[in-house]
Amino acid sequence: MSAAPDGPVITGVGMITPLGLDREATLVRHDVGGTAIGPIERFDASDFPWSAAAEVRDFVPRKRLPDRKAVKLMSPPARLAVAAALDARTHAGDVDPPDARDGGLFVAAGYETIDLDSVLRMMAACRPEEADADAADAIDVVRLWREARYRMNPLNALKILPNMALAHVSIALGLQGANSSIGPHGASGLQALSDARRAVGSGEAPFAVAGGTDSPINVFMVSYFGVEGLLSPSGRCRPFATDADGTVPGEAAAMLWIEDAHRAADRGATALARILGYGEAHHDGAYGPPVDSTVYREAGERALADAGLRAEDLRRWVADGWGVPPSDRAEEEAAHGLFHGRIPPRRAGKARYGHCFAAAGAVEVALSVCQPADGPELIWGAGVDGSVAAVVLEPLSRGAVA
Amino acid sequence: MGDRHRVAVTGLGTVTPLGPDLSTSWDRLLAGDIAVDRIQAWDPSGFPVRIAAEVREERALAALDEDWVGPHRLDRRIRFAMQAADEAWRMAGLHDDPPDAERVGLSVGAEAGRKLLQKVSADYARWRHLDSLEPVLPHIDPHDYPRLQPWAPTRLLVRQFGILGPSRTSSTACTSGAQALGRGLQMLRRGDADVVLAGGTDALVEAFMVTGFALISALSERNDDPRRASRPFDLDRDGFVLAEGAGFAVLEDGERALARGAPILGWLSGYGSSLNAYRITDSPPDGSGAYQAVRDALRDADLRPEQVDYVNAHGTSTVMNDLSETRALRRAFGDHCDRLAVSSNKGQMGHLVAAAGAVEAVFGWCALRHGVLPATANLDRPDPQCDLDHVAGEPRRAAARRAVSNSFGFGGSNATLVLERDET
Repeated sequence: MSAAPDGPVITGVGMITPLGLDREATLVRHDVGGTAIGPIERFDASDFPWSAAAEVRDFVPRKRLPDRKAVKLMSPPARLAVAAALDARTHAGDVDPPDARDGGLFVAAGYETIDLDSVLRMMAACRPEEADADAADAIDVVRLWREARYRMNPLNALKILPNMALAHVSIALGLQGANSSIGPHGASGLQALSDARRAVGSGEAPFAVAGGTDSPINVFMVSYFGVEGLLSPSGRCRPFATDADGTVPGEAAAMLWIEDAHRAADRGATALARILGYGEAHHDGAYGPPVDSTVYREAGERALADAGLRAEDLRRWVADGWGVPPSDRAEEEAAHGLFHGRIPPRRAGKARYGHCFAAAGAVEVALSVCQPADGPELIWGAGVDGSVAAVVLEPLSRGAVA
Repeated sequence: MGDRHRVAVTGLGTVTPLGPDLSTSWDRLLAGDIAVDRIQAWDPSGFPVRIAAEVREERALAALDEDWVGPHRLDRRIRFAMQAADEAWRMAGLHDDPPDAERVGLSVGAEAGRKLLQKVSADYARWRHLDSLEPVLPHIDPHDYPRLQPWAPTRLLVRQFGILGPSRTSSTACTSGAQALGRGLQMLRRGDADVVLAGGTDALVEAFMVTGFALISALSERNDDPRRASRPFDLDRDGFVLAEGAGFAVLEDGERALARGAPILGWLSGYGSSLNAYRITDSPPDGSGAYQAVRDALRDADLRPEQVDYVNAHGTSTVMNDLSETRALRRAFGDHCDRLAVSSNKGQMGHLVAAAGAVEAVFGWCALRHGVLPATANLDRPDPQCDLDHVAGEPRRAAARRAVSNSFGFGGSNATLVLERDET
């Protein structure tokens, strides 16, 4: 472990996950073990073949978030993102930074940030009375306008924009610097962290908040991912198990406070960890998680090269582990290739908190920062868009982070 | 700029309401043609907004791998992206001189494929009506999920151009296209790639989006006079006009571009991005967030304000944007602002949202290259509060060397690019 690192370091972690409503609660339940996966309560999924999810329960945004009026305009992932970012700020002890105006913000979020159920309900109400069942895109536009005008809060229309999580976090924390809202998939949380590391490392921002947020537990996501064959009919996500039959959607947000090491030292903050390396690769096969080990391995090799490390330097492998057998096999094969058979201890958490998609990579990094391995570790994340990202994380603070 | 990589522009391509390719769009832009008209793609009768700038002429797509693309049923934003990217790729000579695929990056600004929401809503309506999922399942096409995603165009471009380097999708509403170009600049400067295909695409002229933007009174309701509806910086402006299209640029490490004798169409030398942290719908009246983006872009390019000759403005034709942008420019450029030519392309082609920043940057490079600045259409009575040196009425001949191109989005993301003329 480096005593006095240079460059970007992680000084704060914020989480809201199915395991707990903030960082501390998540870590406590993570230590205890068990799973947060259960029957879907968000909507009536009783006749769905896939009826399990890892939901964030008992979260009351109006009590947790500073602007109660704004809560009404936030879709579920935006609310989670703001809660996690506030948690990260508290943890970093950087409550009112004088350089907030230059603070960066990089959020993996996207289409799932839409309040899809309400949008679809309204559009479904605008189907022409005589619509042919197969005229899939038929819509009575006059009725649409009438429905929207009388039923819709005008500002709700903006919930459809993918950058709303970014916008609400920026307002809540006063961040006004370099930014990006990154398209939603399982690799994008790691991409957001890499972007923040680069922005701080290049001096583009003195510090940055970065992570992912997702709430894919809605009719749309469950039915489409289910039909695609990615969700577990048994409702149990069992990565790498012989009887694995699919993944389970989870919702979460995780945000990390990343700042220049000198800035952290100047304000007496503890450098908890740093991202030593990042790599990504993509395949152009079918949609879904990779079923070919090459893309996992390439991303891992690039992250190691970026970190200047060898595979044998790694002390833990945080697996993507969807619980989808072909993908798990590909990842395992990639790990065997990358680690030359000497595979370090593995953590595969989706059995406990589901697949949180755009938040997934950030959740894994957040957990690893708080519960570090005894040296650098490799964290993989793959998206249904064909991309795989890999992060090499180095702990800088000994022992678990409270 | 020290020893940082210089980033050359070696290919440009557009699909806009003004034309299916760059040369047509540019010629019509200079000719003062206006593409705003009554919506034809669907019947807007009964809507408070019945006008838009639609793409009505498309080129044939480049040869596609039909077996692969077929199931993905290219929606408009993907078709536009592939056409514009192909034009840029071809102009850069990369079909004949393909780069190492692992050293090619991709950066795309895009929003979700909203048209498909109507298809998805049909599935939902069946479910609600039948109160049971089982009979609905056979109707659900799992490919609708990826087709809806902002990253769908990125995925198709990766495949079409065989790109193996880093790829990103930026979704920051009206700032997406400019952010994508800025991200491309960073990929090259950091050595992540030697060539980056960067741009934006969008296809918003459909009922749901018109509904949403009309509800927040963002759109012009000048239905009886569509050609005069989009009027940036004019005293009688009443909102923006939705449009669609795509713009792409091939960005390339400058030394590499010069070494291979590529056409140098201009340079991308600075990028600034900021957030307003103000309100979801509005920009701050003092233009502070926009100012920060312009300031940071100039710093990034290592330029003083007086070294800039032209501003390709965001200029949406909404009351607040144009006022806020004016104040941002005044603050960023100080006294030099009075000597800074400003124009917005949106008077003629409307607001291309996620594609806007990319298309307008392409036009910015064209303006520098050809020495002619396009005019802001319909600027009949300039708003006294928008007291800039507007290029109005006719394009202006000017040997401008450097330009900035602004984009500001819903949600408060701002991006400014610094463009330079080639003088090598």
